[in-house]
Amino acid sequence: MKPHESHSAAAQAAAPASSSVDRRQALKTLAAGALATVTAPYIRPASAAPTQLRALMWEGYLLPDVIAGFEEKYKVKFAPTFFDGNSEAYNKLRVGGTKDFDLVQADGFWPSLYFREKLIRTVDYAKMPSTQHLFPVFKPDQYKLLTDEKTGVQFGVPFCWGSYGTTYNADQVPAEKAASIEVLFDPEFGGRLSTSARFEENIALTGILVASRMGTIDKPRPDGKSFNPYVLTDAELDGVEKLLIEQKKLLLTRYQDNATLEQLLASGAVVAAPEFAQVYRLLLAKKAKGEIDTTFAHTLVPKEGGLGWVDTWLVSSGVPDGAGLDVCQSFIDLMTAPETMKKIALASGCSTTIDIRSLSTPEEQKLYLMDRTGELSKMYMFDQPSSTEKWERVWSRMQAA
Amino acid sequence: MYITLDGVSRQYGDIWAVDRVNMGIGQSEFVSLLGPSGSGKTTLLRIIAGLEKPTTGRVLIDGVDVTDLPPHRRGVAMVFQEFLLFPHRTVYENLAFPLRMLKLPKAEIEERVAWVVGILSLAGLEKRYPNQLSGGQQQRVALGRGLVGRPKALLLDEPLANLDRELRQEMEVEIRRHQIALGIPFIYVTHNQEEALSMSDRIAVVRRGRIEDFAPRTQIYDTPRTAFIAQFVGRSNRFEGTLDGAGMLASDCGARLAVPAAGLAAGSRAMLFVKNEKLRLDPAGATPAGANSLACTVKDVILRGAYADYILAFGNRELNASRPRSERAFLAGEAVTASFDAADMDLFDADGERPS
Amino acid sequence: MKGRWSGPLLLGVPTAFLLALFVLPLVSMVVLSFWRTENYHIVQDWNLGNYLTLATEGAYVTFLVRSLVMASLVSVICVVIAWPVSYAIILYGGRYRLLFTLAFAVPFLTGEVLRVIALQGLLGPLGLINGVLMALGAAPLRFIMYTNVASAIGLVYLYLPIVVTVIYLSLLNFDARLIDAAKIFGASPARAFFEITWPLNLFGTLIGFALCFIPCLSATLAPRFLGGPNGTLYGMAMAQQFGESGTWALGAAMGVVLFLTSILAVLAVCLKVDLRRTGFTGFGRG
Repeated sequence: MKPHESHSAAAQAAAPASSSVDRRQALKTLAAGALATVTAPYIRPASAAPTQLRALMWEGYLLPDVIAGFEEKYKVKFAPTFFDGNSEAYNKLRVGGTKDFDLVQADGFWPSLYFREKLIRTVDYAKMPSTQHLFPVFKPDQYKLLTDEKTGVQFGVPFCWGSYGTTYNADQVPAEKAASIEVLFDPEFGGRLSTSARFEENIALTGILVASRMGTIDKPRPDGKSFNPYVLTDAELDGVEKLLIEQKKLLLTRYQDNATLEQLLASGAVVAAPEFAQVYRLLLAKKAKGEIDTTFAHTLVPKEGGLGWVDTWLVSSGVPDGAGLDVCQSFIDLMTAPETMKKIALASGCSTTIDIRSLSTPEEQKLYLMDRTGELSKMYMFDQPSSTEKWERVWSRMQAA
Repeated sequence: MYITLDGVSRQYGDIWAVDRVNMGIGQSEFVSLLGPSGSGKTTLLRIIAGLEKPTTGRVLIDGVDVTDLPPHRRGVAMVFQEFLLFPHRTVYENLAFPLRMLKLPKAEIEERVAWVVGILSLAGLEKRYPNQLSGGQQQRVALGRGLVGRPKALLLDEPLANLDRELRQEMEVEIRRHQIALGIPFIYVTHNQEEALSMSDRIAVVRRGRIEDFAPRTQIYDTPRTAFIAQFVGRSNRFEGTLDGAGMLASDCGARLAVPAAGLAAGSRAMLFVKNEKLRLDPAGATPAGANSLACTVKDVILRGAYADYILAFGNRELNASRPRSERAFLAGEAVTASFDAADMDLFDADGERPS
Repeated sequence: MKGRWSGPLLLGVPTAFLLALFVLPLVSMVVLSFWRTENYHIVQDWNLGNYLTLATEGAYVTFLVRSLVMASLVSVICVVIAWPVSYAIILYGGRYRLLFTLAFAVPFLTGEVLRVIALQGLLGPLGLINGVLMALGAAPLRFIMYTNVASAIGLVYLYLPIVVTVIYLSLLNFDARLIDAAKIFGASPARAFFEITWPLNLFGTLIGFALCFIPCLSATLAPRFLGGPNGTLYGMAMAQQFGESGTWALGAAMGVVLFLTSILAVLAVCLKVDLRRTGFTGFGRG
């Protein structure tokens, strides 16, 4: 059923009814109209111009003034829903989310998984001129993770990128210690460490450490591919579990949001924590303003290896060709426009995939790693755990220990 | 006196709910506090119980000043209008409650409860919960709970108000019987004059926090001390008017009535009450029996069983007469002469006081 | 419409309501708990694997035991605090009683998340309490920073208003003149409380207890934000199965276990307590 059609049909029927004054007909029309009004918000039209643009996204990227301008220009209401981790977004999409969302964000390997499972659809870079400003490493010819191998068609646009490096209090933690993942398991900093609450990245990062300790990181892997911290052997997972349990005593807490981590670091309650460099940049901004005087530093890629991510904008497979897709692509184009990206970088503290060096000061270029996009190739991209069941068990055992 | 109230007053905000009450109640006396609702009689009872503290004055029970004692240390018991049985306890447990509080041995508790179950015919109901009892049964349990601890006094707060008429009359007799048997004072609060009259040794009429009169029940009924009591106790016909020099009252309703000799000046306003049953009726034209006679017409006859109530039209007003059925009956519409003696009247001055 | 059909129709509304909002979700959860997941895919083969995991994997038992202890403690604390508070409102609230009751409902108007985050700010290393302590030169209280104590404080804070409201309503419905009666018959105020007030409000207290205990058993937010590394409770672990790891079938089994545990807890209380002895007749007062 296409309720918007039935809605307009009811409206058309209402006109003759009011002129012919046939009471029964009028009642029928009224009932139909009422039904259509009631159901309209719940059932979406297939082709009519959308009145709402629904996005499943990271909260940090919300720019109210840019969005207000977009709403004004395209006469649509932007309705965001936020998620905390890729698997959560994936879960939402899998249980009927393609009907509930038009735009989706994901990072690392996740977009290709979404595309394989037909949760998202292809997009047209030609309709999004902003994509011309992508740094070379994020252009489709170099960055392969957003292109369908078979057809060569794109299904996502890179947006922001970053690592899961370690932000540390340089007054308390020596740089050589902070250069290793070991710092997060160092009893010297017991009670002053924190990690995120996300189970995937915690296990993967610990997995890199365990594999390098075991020496399995450069040995041939069971799957014949090169090492991926999201594909760990059972022995490695055992090591991860032990290490995570040991680490628990050293943690003050697992931070739930950046604001909390920023407070903890700023106050000195926490001296080192892995994060997306967002908090790091916020802290540097604070220091520049003279609000704090602690020196913070960030290890982008630890010596054992690190995790990296590229956030992308995707269009859900529920969006049909035509007006719906056009609005989505216009939105993505606006969000990846250099001017918008500059604002996003400042607001979220993320590095951008769009080259905004011409809009930035030398300090900003350095802070937002605009000349270091090449290091992305050294990082392990965020991925789906090889067995969520096994990983979940490791995480639960750690929590219960 | 066994219970003494000495200048007891209780103030709520600006209102004196109880105002300078002095009373002495003897052991084994049945006293009623009779008054309209809001007159302060229940507050007075709660002061005796210790549930309220008097603002001024003292309460003495059995020679002991209990003014500052909490209720549980006064040794009195109470029966409430809503019974207030403990809903989570069986009849047995409700009855045993005061005894448990007295820390009596179990055997004695059983014996005393059995005694009270016996005198109040509650046998077989011991294991029931209050809400499984009829109103009358609940009332008996409430009374039993009041008696079982052999209190120094039993305070009853309109205990029969929630019962129907027949049951009420039955209970009146029973309550009085138990009071006599136990020989402790019962202080009985009611707004129902019949209850007060049927049971009491003495009645205290309470009005606006004050004791209007405290006297034996016959005296309260036969020679009310104030116009309020005359109005409130019994059913009366009321005349108001101006006295002339010849010992006659020119009533506002047009009657000229001979009044008993009284210390009231000629020309002063006065109130006069004649009880309904003192108004005698004779056929019109017959020689009236009383000194004062009024020519009336029977408007309505209400049969009460042993007697009949007549509603009479006298001029613009109504008079009420209550006559035994053994006398001649009159029919509605009949012309009659209503008469009464000067001695059957109660005369009050304009302030409602009996002239001295 | 009238007469013959109105009765069944009227009863049909709550029945349909229960079916749609309670029975159906419960049934679907039970079904899901007998399936399994494989990397974010539900595999529909019937098995007892999830329950086996829950029974044999110590972690989940630990979560449940932690939650049971936590919920019991929090509920007892809430009741102990709520009683004097409600009693004071009844006794001294006067004409402001209604205002007090409404004031207790105010926290409900903000979201639970907001309240927990506010509390995180209060208890955390930079929070009001430790901030003041450190400003006074004292050492910060370690035990309220990201610990189970912090979780417990959070849960008490979240559910105390409910318990106060329920006990307040129970007391409001309670005929306080029964206390007068008890006193007249020789009970001291303390004795009157334990003989009359407590038993006659026990039912309300138990409802308050249950309304605190059951949500505490499945609490997610408070342990997540306040509990710290060792504070994972059953509800939080269960939420992870659905929100993060995509192990829905195991999560469903955890839900079924939680549901059964709650029912058992309520049943145990019901069997222990003779409702008649709380003055409860099931048909209102009288």
